[in-house]
Amino acid sequence: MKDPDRTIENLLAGLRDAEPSTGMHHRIVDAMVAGRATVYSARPRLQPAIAISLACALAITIWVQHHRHIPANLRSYTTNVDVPRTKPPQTTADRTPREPRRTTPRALLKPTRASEVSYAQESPGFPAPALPLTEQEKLLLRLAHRHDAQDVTLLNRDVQAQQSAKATQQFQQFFGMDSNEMRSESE
Amino acid sequence: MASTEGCSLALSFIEDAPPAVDLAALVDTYSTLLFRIANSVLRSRTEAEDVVQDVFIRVLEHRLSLPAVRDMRVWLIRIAWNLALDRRRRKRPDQLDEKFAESLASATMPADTAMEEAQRFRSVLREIERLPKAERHVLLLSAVEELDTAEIAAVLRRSESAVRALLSRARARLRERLEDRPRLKEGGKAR
Repeated sequence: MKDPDRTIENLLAGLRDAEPSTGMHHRIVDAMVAGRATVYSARPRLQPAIAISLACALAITIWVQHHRHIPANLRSYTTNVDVPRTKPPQTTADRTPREPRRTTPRALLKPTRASEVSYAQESPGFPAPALPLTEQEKLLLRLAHRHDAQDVTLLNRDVQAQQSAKATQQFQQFFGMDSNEMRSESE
Repeated sequence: MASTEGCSLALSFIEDAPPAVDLAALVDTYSTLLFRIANSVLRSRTEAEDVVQDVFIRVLEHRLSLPAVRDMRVWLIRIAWNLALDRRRRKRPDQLDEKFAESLASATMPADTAMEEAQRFRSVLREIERLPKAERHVLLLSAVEELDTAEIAAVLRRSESAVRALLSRARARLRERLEDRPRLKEGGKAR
């Protein structure tokens, strides 16, 4: 190639003097505005999801903290006494003292602060007093012990002899045997 | 340079941008320089403009970290340079260089000599692409008049002396190859 330096210089000058089109600036600004709008339109969709997840996390944290710091026996006291009884009365089986299901380690259930320990020991209702039976519970008790009176009468000899004679009589009537035959058979 | 009166109005609502960095002013100041840098790699006006647009979109995405940028000019040039190189890898070089050579020759030469000049430009561009990568990059960045040696060194993360040496070697190698080109062709025909 003849005079390569001149050709190289011409080429580099062509690169050097290149000018952008007149609308480039506005195109760039429009693209930036559009990019900005895209960012903003994406935000409101995320906000409710973030708010809901934060609320759930907060509720779980509060629940865990509450159940961690109150001892199990104190928790039963608060549920039996302090909470008004709006629910239907419980049965005897439900009222039996039951170990609450432990979801956290035992070490975490223990009161850690001195104030909580003193409150638990000095509280007038500690441990929780027994509640009087409800009408349904009393009915259930009566049904469970229905034959108690009959059992007591068995201890009386006269009544027991009468019942025995009555049973023998019923037996003879049923099988058609008189008393003489029975006696001869027994001899 | 195009008027950018509307730019500051359009970008005034970008309230997240720190007050120290005016994005509209950045577009106004650097878009032409970034265009030339991208054009030196891509040799296509539309592709270069797209690269400049991508640069400022990235600036917008990282607008909160702009105050931490020490040298805004070099930072922007490096983004444009890397984006242009990425785009160049996805294109066939001959495809862009042919059009560029024709348009450059027709702009600078009369019609009767433009064809021959375009052929010479194509040869130079082909030889530039055959240069070692470091030499090619230094040569292309040196074509942008606004960049001095220190800035080229900062963009390429090399020392200034290394940039000067690479530029000298690139020019010498390119000249040598272009001078040998007719001889090689004649040798090829003789065989």
